[in-house]
Amino acid sequence: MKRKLLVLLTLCLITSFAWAQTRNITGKVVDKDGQALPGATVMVKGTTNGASTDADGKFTLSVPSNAILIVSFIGMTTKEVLVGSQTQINVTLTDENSILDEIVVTGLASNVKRANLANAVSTISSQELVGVTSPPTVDGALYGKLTGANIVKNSGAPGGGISIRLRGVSSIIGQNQPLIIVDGVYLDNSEIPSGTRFVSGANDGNEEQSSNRLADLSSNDIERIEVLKGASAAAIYGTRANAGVMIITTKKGNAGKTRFHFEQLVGTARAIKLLGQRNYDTEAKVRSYFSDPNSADANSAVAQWNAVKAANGGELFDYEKEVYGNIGGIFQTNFSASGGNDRTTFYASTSIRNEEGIIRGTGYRRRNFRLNVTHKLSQYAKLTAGSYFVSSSADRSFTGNENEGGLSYGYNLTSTRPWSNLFPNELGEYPDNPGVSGNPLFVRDGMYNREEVFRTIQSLALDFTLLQRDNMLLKFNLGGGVDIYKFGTFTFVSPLHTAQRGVSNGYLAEGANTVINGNYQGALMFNVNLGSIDLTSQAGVTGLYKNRNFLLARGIDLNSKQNLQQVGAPSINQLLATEQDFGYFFQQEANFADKVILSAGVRLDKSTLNGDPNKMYAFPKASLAVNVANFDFWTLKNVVNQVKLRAAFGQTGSSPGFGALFTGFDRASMGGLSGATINEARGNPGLEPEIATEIEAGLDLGFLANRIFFEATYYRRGVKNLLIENALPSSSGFSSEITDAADMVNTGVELTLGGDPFISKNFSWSTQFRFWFNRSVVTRLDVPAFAPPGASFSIGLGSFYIEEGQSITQFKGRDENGNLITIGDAMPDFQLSWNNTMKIAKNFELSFLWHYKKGGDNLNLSLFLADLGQTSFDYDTPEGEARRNGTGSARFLEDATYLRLREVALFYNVPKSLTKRWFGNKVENIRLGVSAQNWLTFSNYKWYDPEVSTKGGAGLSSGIDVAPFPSSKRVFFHLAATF
Amino acid sequence: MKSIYKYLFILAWFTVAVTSCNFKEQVDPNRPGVDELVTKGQVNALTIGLLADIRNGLQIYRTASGTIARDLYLFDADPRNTQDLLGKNGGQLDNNSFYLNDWYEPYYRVVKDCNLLIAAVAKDIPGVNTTEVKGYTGFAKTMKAHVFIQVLNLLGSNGVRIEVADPANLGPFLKDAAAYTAIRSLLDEAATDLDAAGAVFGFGLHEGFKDFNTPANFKKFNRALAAKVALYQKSWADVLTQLGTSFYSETGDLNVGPQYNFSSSANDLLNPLFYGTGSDNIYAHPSFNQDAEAGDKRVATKTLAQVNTKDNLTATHRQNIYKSSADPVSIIRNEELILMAAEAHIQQNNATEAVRLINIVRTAAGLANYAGATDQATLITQLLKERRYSLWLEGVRMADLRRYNRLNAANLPIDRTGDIVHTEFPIPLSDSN
Repeated sequence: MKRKLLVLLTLCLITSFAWAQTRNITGKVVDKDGQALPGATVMVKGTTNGASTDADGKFTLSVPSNAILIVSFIGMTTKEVLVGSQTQINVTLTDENSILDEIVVTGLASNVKRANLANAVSTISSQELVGVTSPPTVDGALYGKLTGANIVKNSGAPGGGISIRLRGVSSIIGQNQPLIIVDGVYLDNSEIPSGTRFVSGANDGNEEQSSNRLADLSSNDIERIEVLKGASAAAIYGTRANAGVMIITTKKGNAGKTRFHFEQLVGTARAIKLLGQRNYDTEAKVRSYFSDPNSADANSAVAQWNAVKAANGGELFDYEKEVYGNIGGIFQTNFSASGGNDRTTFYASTSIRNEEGIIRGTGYRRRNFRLNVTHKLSQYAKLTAGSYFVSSSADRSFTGNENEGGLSYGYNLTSTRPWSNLFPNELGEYPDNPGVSGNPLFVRDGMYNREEVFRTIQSLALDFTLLQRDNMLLKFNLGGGVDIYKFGTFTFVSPLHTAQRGVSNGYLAEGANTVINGNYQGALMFNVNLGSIDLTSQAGVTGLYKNRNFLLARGIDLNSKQNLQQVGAPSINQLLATEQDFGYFFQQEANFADKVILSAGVRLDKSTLNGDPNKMYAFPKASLAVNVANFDFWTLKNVVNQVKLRAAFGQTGSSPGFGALFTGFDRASMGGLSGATINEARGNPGLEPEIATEIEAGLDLGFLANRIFFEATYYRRGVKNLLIENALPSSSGFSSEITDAADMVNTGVELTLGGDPFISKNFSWSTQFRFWFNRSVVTRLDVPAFAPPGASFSIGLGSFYIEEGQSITQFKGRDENGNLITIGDAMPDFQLSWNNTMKIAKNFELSFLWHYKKGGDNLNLSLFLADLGQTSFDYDTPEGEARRNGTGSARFLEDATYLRLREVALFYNVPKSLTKRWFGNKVENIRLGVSAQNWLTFSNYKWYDPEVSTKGGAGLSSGIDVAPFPSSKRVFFHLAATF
Repeated sequence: MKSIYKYLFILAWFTVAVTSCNFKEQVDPNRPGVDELVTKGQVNALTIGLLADIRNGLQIYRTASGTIARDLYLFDADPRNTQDLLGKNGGQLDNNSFYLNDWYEPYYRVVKDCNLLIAAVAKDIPGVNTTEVKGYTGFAKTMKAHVFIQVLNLLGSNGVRIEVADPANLGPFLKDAAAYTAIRSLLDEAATDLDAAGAVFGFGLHEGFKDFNTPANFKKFNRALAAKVALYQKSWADVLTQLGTSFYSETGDLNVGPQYNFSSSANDLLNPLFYGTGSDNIYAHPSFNQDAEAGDKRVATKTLAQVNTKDNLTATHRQNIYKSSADPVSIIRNEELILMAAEAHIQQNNATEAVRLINIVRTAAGLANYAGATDQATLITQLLKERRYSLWLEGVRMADLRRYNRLNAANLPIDRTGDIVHTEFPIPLSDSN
């Protein structure tokens, strides 16, 4: 492989070219206010000849007379200027508000101008992503910014834990999160549990409230994110694209003066709300805790209750505040440098974020470094390399579901009596918590559950222009990269902990999870312009491998050392998995003068995850966009500049998860003898991928040169061969197998209305409304209706329930008489967001983003636990009483509607006159501001946050609330400087 | 621009090179496959593994049935232990929940292991001779029968599914007499196999089976199970016949019997009935201590004072049979066999013999000889009381009460207004379709 590349490179380099006669020209590049733009790139079209503007925005170039200059600057619309006979060329660039000219990355080897796009592809710019405030993770920065997405936080713990679903659920047990590609490299977004279930008694790894690995990516490095929401847009990505694709492009440098950007954030995190607990204001309430209110226990509880009140000025202990009341500090420093010359450009950055959580001792630290280099080897060859390293650690402590572990704060607090003294004595010993197996203060102060990541993402791409004629272009690109990380987990539970003492006497575990992903792609792209038709063909191959080695070593019976060699009953869990995909893709586009744009293509993929690893599956696509306003008969162009009708069709796949093909034995030992017993999951060796087929149609309108724009999209995505974990009759010895026994359909509507209602020197306002909803229905189910195992707890407590003709996210439960009834649905009725940016008095910028989710039910089992522990905040209200004394699952179900101020910020750009006075020309821009994330939430939901998923981010699992890590709101002060 | 053809040639070559690699058929890197049952070692691993795996259902089987029988409470994080199982506010048992699935699934996994074992030894396995084959089948059939008895005891009139070797073609749920007949004939088949199995097994058994690790001795366990089935069949004379060839001993240790072991070594389990001193624990139902005769050692040795209140239930004593996480748990004990004999005698109006046997147990418990009335009804009540104290936390109370129509509110203490008494577990959802 290496040798071939070398040959290619050499061939490119030795090609020589003749130049037309040249002469010198000078010029100046300014913005719309006439301010000079230093660092703008001025290139001669079709050559590598170019220059960057100096501090005064000036440039000098030697050009042939027929040259066309391409003038570009980040955030501005690129402009082409014919040199002709001019020798002094002044160029004014305008802000990139003309979204129609924006180039959208949608395919593997080609891009499309937004105006010609047949799909509703959402693009999130760097400014939209982190320009307002500083959400801790990339996924957390996407809330409310794209239509069709349902983003849910699984855990409020620092360090992430968010799931994204595009256009509803596309799989029951498989991948529901989009494929993420960063600069051409497939990014692993696994949620890897740390094994706390082995000590907390949680049912499965997905109940451990783990973080997802998209958290490792620094949002500040991201230039833009393109979101292909469904199969019609993502078909060319084939067998891993059923849940959509997120294409992330990181920042590249621009030729010109080296620019440095520095930003310092200082902020805090605090719980978005505290619930309060039942008010134990009367002795009778204390006594009611006991079945015999006059028992000795009740008497002693009353005595304690009196004593605590006497000592605390009439107040009982507020353990909720004690545990969740921490105000965590957040510090983030970002530094970047970018620049280069006409042949080589670079972007280098580093960022450090330290964040404390709302539970003392929890927190997140991330340090990351990036270097992106682009180098032109010749006029015909370009090399792009990206290198990213991140090291992070997160103290996430113990939250979520558990059984007998006495660790989860939420669990313990719901049964903690406010008159029990849980504070350590003078010897540092923590008292046991009567009524429950753990003292939350001891868990907080004396134990840990930590994650640690070392990760590198490396990308390399080579672009060759093989042939360039006036009307045709043949390019070859070769690219790929690796994403490699080690995810370490460290868990310690003290031997003195109530649930440990005398039983397993402590728990220590370390996980060493290694993930190695690599992918490559080679593609030929041919473009020919035949006057009124522009044809683009592409063909290529792609390959992907994923290797996972998850190792967890654990033990009990601890001595004084936290060293795994010192534990008793050492035990090891290991999961090995190797996956390989290979595919071809072909695509043909035809553009009739930007009036009618046709495209068709196919991806052929095989994967070792499928029953037959060498069977090729075809994923076709076709699309049509008609720009009515570009036809000659359209005379309203001044008023309605865009009228686009579009339709697209496409298919994608999703292979079964690793291991679904195999039936095997588990090791089971007793009394020193090693044995084997059948694993409860029966393999299905004939599995095929789930196939999604999507049809999307839409209308895009632009008014007054796109000052107002409107985008409407309808889609219908059917998924065939939906894999389910089919519960087998337990008496067969197997509890389940994966079968493709179902089909489903998602339909939905996405609307965006936006524009710039005001543009003036002292006040301009840009605003977007987004509205979207999704509905799903199970259209085929070859097995009897069932509650998918692991997605919820039991039908009695309310459960997801897969049933033909019903929504895939419906909740079923039991009524008072034990009959099965439908009680709700996790799918929101609709979502609405309103994003605004206002520029006031030249130097002020006010931004705010409201996000409203209507409907979508949660199973509030946290409140149920609090009822049992007699601590719920509404325990004595009529409502609380009705709930406690009732039966049936519906009483746990709550509407999780909320209205949230996701982001709000006010920035002040120090005027150039002042920076000039203070720093001369050294500093270009200084920006100060204050921002907040999740500052306001309005909801009637009766636990910490209506946005919750105790069962993690995979599969159906959302809307189940069991003692999660409460969400926090963050507020920041910003100081940024560019120099 | 001739070089273009070179590029294209290289491209074509690259494409062919990349695609000529065929993916290999996938093998599981994590576990041995189900087709790997061809050596003696692999088959023997199953005999150990199935006994190890059955322990996974032990705790919830005993606590769930014991809770329904008002023998105990399990106070832990799962609220359903104090709600569903006690029928809080009239609530019914859920046919898809941990207190059913979590024992039913491992129990039938063990049946699957037994069936795989029987199928594997039916083929030629190097180093396993025909005599040894009988040992494997006798062992496997006995363990299957043990599981079926356990299942039937909790599912009651719902019956038990016995023919499960072919997952695609599961047999019917056999009810009542049919079920007992099928289990009994399975046990008898096993006994015949064991008789033909030579002096030693071709496989080893763990420490808990040290008195039952030859075909002849293992048959004593088999016959104890046969006696139990006879008891449920009300074949009173047969109970005594079968006990005669079991490990029944009037003079021997009441605790003799096969056991499950626990340890903290790799892939092993800790005793799941041992909760240490934590407040999440197995507690005796308060009536267990209140109803006890003064000086009953069974109460003193099996429970220890520890008060806890949960969900408006207050318990005063926690479990103290198991004092460490490595303590073994009996599968069936001599004490139960003696009480089975006593019951058979009562039912055959042989009061004197029954009282004599009851007194063996009472004496061991530090109590005076039984001095009450000796009519059949009174003796049955007394017998059930002795069984309650002798076999507390051994998973038989619910079936005992049901057998004598006492699994109801009239005969059991109701702790909270609105609680109801369940009489049997439903067929698990997955099996009821």
